[in-house]
Amino acid sequence: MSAFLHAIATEVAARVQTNDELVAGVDGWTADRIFTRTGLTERRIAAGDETAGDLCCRAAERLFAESGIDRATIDTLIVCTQSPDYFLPSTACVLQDRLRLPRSVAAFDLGLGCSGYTYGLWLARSLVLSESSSNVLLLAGDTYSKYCHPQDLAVASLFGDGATASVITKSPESVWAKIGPSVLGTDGRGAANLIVRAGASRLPTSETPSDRYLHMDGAEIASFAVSTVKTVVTSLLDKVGLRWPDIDGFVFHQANPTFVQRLTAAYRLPPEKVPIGLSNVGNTCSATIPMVLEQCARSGRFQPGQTLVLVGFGVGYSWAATLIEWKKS
Amino acid sequence: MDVTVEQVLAGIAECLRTERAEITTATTAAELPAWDSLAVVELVFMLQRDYDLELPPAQATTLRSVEAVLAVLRAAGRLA
Repeated sequence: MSAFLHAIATEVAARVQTNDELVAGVDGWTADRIFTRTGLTERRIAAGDETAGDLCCRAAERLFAESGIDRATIDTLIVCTQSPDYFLPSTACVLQDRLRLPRSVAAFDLGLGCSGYTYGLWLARSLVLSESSSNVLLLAGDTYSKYCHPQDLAVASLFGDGATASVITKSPESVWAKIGPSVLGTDGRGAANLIVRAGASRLPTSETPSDRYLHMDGAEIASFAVSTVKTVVTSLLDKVGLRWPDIDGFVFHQANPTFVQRLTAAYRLPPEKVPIGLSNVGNTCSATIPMVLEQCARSGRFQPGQTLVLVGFGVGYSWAATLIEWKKS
Repeated sequence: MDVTVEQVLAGIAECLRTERAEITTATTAAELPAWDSLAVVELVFMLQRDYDLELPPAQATTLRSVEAVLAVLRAAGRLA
């Protein structure tokens, strides 16, 4: 028994925010400075009444339309988001109805951020291999822009809103990739370095503006990423008996294009092995890896038989690396 | 001891996207607007890429002066 990634579809928020728009009225920032620091030219921003659930719903409908997958065959729905429609019920329950999925479906949310997609692949593969599920619909989407203070451009410049839909299946026919093992990890000591403090049970309300918006300590996150990504990739490769040079492509979480370039240089990886994307979308958290995979599929960047490592890392701290064998020509 | 102070100052200037002449051993983030949180991220990557140094995350936030960067390199035995 194996598990396969059948297809991916993507969706981004409609509104485009340029760097010029972003810096308007904010002292000390220029559009050029934003681009130089992040590699982003613009980002997609959700409308006030547009949720991650809406974006996930549209991505799933696009997937059903483009891939020919019959929604009636979906038996598990996982929605990975940190921007749920409600405190309760879970967004997955709401989307079961909106997507007209069978009422026999197992539906639940996965509350992870940038590691969420690779956690989702690990979970979906586990469900398929254990014969608990035959077709898992994995939706990954977030609207972090709603958490960003508009004047805090060190944070607001980075994030965009979007979602992806993926189907993980036991059927090997017409698939994009075979999903291999994963290595996962968690270090809650980093929780305070990427956090929205107020609004939930620990701190329901706060008069302090910084509590109500996303706080990010970029230096700590970068330091965590530099050491953790290398460790988790090495652990994964040790597990399957491969070495770094054996890998044909490294698809990292796209924190931002500059960040991925720096990570590539820090590990002395050949740039041609590391796709970099979303310079006009922004960091869509758990959706960045599948968005880049979908771009690679469209452009034919990878060839059948090539081995890729996907690495999600960030808020939590949480991380996961997954090996896949590309199948799509 | 294979690194010179001059090399480090040049690397810091590159991370801050500022002129080398703007950087002295006494420079701090407080006096240089270019030394923002995103520049600190660049410094973290520079230390890994150029000197194979991985900082504990809590130490990364201390990179807010030239002296702090030099101290990290001295502690690692890379700078006299």
